[in-house]
This record gives sequence, structure tokens and C-alpha cells, in this order.
Amino acid sequence: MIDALTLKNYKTFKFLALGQFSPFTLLGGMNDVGKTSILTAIYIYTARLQPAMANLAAMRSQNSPNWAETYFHGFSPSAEKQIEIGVVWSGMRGRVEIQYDPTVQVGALLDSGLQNRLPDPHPSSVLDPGRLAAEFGLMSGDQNLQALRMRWFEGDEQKSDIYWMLPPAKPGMYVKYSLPGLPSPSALLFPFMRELPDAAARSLSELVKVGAAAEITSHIKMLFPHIRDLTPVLTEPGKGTVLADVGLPKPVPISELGEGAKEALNLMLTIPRIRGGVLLCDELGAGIHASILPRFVQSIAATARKYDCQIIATTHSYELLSAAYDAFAQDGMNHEDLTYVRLDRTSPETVLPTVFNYEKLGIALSNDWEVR
Amino acid sequence: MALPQAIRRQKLLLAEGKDELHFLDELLKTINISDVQIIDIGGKDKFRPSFPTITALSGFRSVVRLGIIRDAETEAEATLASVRQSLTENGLTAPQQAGVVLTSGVPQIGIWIMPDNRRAGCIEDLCWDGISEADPRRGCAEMFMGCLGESLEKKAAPPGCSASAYYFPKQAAKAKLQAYLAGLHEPQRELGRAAEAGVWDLKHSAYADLRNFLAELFR
Repeated sequence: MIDALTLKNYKTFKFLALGQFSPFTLLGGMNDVGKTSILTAIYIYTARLQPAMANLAAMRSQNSPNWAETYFHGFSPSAEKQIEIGVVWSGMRGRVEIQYDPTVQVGALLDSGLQNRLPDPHPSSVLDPGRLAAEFGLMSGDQNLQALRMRWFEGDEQKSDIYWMLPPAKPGMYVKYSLPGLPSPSALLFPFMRELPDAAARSLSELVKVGAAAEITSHIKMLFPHIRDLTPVLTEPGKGTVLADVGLPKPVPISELGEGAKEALNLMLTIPRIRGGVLLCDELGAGIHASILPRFVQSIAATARKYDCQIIATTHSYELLSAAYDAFAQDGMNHEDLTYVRLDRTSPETVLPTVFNYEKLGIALSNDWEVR
Repeated sequence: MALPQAIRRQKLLLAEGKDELHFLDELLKTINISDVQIIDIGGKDKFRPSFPTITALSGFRSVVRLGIIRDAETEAEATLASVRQSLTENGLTAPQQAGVVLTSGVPQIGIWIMPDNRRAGCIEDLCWDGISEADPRRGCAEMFMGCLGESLEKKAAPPGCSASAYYFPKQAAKAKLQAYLAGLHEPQRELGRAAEAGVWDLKHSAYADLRNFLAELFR
């Protein structure tokens, strides 16, 4: 479980220290204060070899012509600037350091022992210069490339050295080396972008195999009584969907369900997939009706506890905070497992966290005081 | 749907309940102060547990003047000590004395213990002090209390005792003021609403020290 996080020069944060994460942590605050950036920072740390991280990075960097300013706080091309994402995971300190390198040469990369490329599902071994240049979309192996060099450490031991190539090269992740040992599975989910029938089908199929699907299905049925049953359908390895019996003559694919049901199902099926890890969720509860939010939170929290999965989620919703409080007030729930952290920008350079434990949050909610 | 209450002003006054909130709002008007936000903390027993949450609310970091108004209850010194402890536990500097504004640091802080920072009692005692000696209802309320004193047991009722049992009112000052309010031509049931209705002469000398304190803190 993530206990603490420090960010230096990452996106909007010159420096940020958050020290009171719990198994179910909600992040709040005004727009653009950096809530989602905290999720992406944790994701970068935890997902060093997950292709999805490269996709995220590529998507983000392509969206902005000034990508460096987006990722590096106070970036200037003439000054060296290093991002540092520090994490304490179950008492163990680790960090990832990210530096901008505008002069990476394909040949030099190759000479240094570049081996794997992600998100290629079948990583190549050693690439020849011609192929590497082609991979990068360049004509010459001597051409300078822009890259972010990312190095992961556990304690003082370096675990990974990865280049995150940037436009005009084809965005992607090139692994110089990577040793096992760092945590841990994670998933980053954005609102209304959670329609992942393939992953849902794989996850539910795995749960069916080990006899653990019924519990997830019962949570879904309790939240959405019109859903009578869920069945995974794998059409080919890694591909498929989940069919929902909603009382119609034929079951419907989950992509046809409402946003709330898809939200709940995706979260519920993602958690077992990242057992022991951390689920990072932007705008938790988006699309869920207020009347079932407490039950929704309770189901998510119970499932997360079963799979030893930490939830870190952003929200702007007073109703969700209230629902979370109500959910953790139920028998069998541990009050200490709920934390709400509001971020306040007190100056262009400074964002300060305010931590609400269960009791403090309850006092604010019972008085109808603003905490967002 | 009403938005939750946020701290929106830099001058903040914490009051024990709704009566105090409405009363203080009216009192501030008499000294032409209109930029103070008053928050009702929800009851005398809620101050200690609620204060850490107040300091965590959106907007508290912007507060530059903070006033805290509490009832002394049985002992003004003990209540002051309790408030001071809450302040220091939450990283704020506490004034040594009630009725004195601490001007160093941010926010500047003042504590007032009702009725006058010295006596035991509550806001009802202060309002009572502000009723003119010439007001005939004053004597009527006193006679009523006297009658109750002769007719009812003047000791604490045993636990679990019915609310209608024949025991003298636990809070005599509140009972006396209620008797006074009941005698108005247009009766008022609440001290705070009575303030809004102009029942209390808020320019009376009984309120002078509190007015001066609020003026020093918030002007």
C-alpha cells in the first residue's frame, strides 16, 4: 500500500508531500489544483513496464506542443530540471527520476545495450540501427531525439533505466534495463473512458475459473437489480466482452449498459486484476446515481479489501464524500481505512494538502460544511 | 440545492449555536461591522471536537481575524482554558486572557467568554443584564422564578427522571429569559430571533465591553 508520496517539479507541483494515505483515499480540491496529476505520478511510479503508461505518456505529450512545460514544473530548455516522484510503499522507499534529454542518439542508445521496446507485445531483443531508426520514424541513427530518461530506484539501488521517446519520433518506451523488485500492479481509470470489454472479459473469465465471480456479480446485482447475471465471452486470446442478462430475450454486451453500471463493473473487475496493488481512479462514482453511492462505495471498498488493493480516487462530489462516510460507518468497515485529502493552491508555487480522517470528515458533513 | 457552508470571509466569528449567531449578527450591526462571517458550531459540547474540522475547511487559511465566543457555564477560567487548548492543539496562538485581542500573528485571535469573561453563566445572563430595570416584565420573570424556587425541588433530578418531574430548571438563567420573552406583546421563543426583532437594546451599557471587543477584533 502507498503510505506517502513526494513530488518534485512534476507538472503543477514544484514540491508536494502527502503523508497520510489509507486503503481508501479520496482527493479533492479546485479544478487544476493537481488531483489527477497525483494519480498519473503514482501510475508512472508503479507502472514502469506497463505499455499503458507509454500510451498515456504519448497521448499526453502529443496533445500539447509544449509537453515539457506540461510535465516539468518551471521548465526551461536551457536549465536542467529533474522530476522526482518518491513513494513509500508499505514502509519501503522508492522513487523515479525523470530528466529531459534533447540529444539522444539512436546509435548511442543501441551501444548502451537497449533491449526492449514497449508497448510491443513481443519485445525484440537487440535491435539493429536501421530497424531502430525505422522504429523511431527517423532516417538516420545519428539524428538527435528528444526523450525523457526515467530511472527507478528502490532505496538507493537503481532498478530500471528507460527512455520515453517523444515527438517527432514515434512515442514509445525503450528499456535499457529493468530489474524486478519494485511494486506493483496498478490501474489508472478516467471517467467515461472505462469501457474496456476485453479486459473486463478476461478478468471475469479468470474469476469464473477460480470460483470468485459470484461475489463480484452479487455486488453488481445489488447495485443494479435489473442486471440478473454476467457472463464473460472470450472470442480469441485476450479479446472478448461481458454479456449482461437484463431480462431481455438476449443478453446485452456491457458496452450497451448505462455509464453507472459500466463504471461499477469496470472498477469491480479491475480490482482483482491488480491484487495487492493500487487502483487510481479519476472522478470516482461518475455516472452513479446518488441513491446508490453509499452501497457503491461499500462494494468497491469491500472488494478492494478482499484483494488487498488500495483505492486512490479524485472527486468533486459532496455526495460521494457523504456516501464514503456512510459506507465506512457500516458494520465491518474500518473507520481508519478512509481518508479524504483536499488540495489547496495557496500560491502559484505552493499546493498544500489538508487531511480529513473519518471523524473530521463526519463532523464537516454533519454540519453541511464545505470540504471540497 | 443549497451549497455547503464554506468560509468565504477573512473575518470569522465562531458561535456556540444559532441563538448566539443571530444575536452576534445583530450586535455587529450596531457597531457598523458587516464583513464578518459567523459560523454556528452546533452546541457547547461541539466546540472541542469540531474546531479541528473548522481549521481544515476551505477558506480557513485565508482567515486573518478569528473570534471565538463561548458560554462560561460553571467557570469562565475553565472554559477559557479549554478554548486555548483547542487553539494550540491546532497550531494557533492562543490569547492569555479572554476579552483581549491577540494582535501578533495571523490570524489575530480574540476569545470572549459569556457573559463577561469573569462570571459563570451564559449569553442569557448578558441579555438579562441588558434589560432595563424599568421594564415591568423583568420583575414578573423574577417573581416567576421565585415561585418556581418555592414550589420545586432545588436539586439535580436523578438520572432517567421524566422531563416533567417537579425539579427546579437546570438552567435558571435560560428559564428566566424564556419567562421574559413569553411576556412580550409579540412573544419570542428564541434569544437570537428576539435580537433580530429588536427586543434587546443592544446599545445598552451591559453590552459595551462585548461591543468594544468585537470592534477591536474586526475593525
